[in-house]
Amino acid sequence: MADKRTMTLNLTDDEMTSLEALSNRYDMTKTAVIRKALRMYQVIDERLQRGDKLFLEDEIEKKKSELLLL
Amino acid sequence: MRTLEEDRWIKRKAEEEDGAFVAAGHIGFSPMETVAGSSSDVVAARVSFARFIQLARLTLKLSKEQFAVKARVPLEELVCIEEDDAYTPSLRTVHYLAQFLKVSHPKLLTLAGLARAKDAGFNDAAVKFAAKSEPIRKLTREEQDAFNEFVKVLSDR
Amino acid sequence: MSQESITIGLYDYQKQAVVDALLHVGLSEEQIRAAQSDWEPIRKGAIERLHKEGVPLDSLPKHWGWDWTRKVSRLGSKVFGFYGIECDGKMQGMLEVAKEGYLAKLPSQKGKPLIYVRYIETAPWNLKLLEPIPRFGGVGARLIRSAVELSLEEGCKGRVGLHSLPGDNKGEPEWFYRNTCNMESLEAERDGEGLLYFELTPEKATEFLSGETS
Repeated sequence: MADKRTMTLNLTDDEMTSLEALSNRYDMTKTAVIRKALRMYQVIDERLQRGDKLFLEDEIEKKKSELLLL
Repeated sequence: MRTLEEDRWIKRKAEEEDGAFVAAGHIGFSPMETVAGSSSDVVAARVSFARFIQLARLTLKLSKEQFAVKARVPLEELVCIEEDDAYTPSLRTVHYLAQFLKVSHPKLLTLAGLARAKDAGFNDAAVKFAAKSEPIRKLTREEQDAFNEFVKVLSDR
Repeated sequence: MSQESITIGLYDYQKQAVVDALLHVGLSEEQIRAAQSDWEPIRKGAIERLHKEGVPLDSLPKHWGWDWTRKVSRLGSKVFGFYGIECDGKMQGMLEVAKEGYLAKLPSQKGKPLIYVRYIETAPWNLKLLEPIPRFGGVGARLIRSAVELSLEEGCKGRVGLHSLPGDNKGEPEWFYRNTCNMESLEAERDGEGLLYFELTPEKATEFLSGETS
């Protein structure tokens, strides 16, 4: 297992509420949620840097919409 | 370093597993189309089709999205063709790919595993092409040469 | 995925003892190519032999055409993980997992993240179906254990999902996941090829790691 380092994270009330909601919904620790979010962000960022675009698809309507990241 | 507990665990699990066939994932090919027919031909064809489409796209210096638009094929399908071992493309997609790449439609269908090859020479060419092409990010000179050779085979209608 | 190797045990049928093996966490392209080159001719040869001996086509192992080298483009991905168990100088089993994009389907766990086994295979010389006296035992179970341990590390509490190749007789894949790995199947979640979905709950994962079976 890779060595881990500790950091302190300051969140607003809203951000903490969102994090807790995700943690409860997915039955994961808050740390695990943040690690997952970081990984997804890295993956998306790599693809965007390559010139790819990120789309979301409505499976029922068969419509795609581009997720804009600024 | 192993622990006694781990050793006990693996010994117990080895007994339970008892040489079982352990596999999960896509089937891709069924033995029926491989063992009953000419097995290495189907394997070579499937590998060759994915490699050929990928090399064609890279030769044209197109991203997957650009290639999909120009060839008029769904982007998701193109991604599956290039990256998913088990994926069988639709007839429509192979038709449009053959048109766009200006190669023989029946031969590309065979390469995609949607039709049987009519001559052994085609299968040999597919095997050679599969052997020379590797998972790639950009073309090497050898891959470019192999690709050009194979295009000639596919274009010979 | 960065690479590291850990010493584990495998059961050696020749020595009738547990011996040292290496669990590779993360694989290189060379390792995958070497494994494919070792396994493919034996796998194909054995299946063709079975066919000639009269085993019905329907009953033949269906991973005949698997090619692990086609997965090398996913090496180094943050989303996919590769594991291999090496012993006696050869790869005895390999595993590819997805860490993202899959959620549990069993009603009691529905919607919770899990580790999904995309591919798992043990070397053909370890299968009784292809070799009357297997070389090493416990390879499949040890690979599944790696997936469970990754699931715990990722905060998924041991949840693991996969689609099994067909066969629920003793010694066949579905039987293995149900009986050796404590996994539950879900008919409604068969995939496009009709493969049966299996999932390990946190409770069953704990039992599996402790060596208990249901």
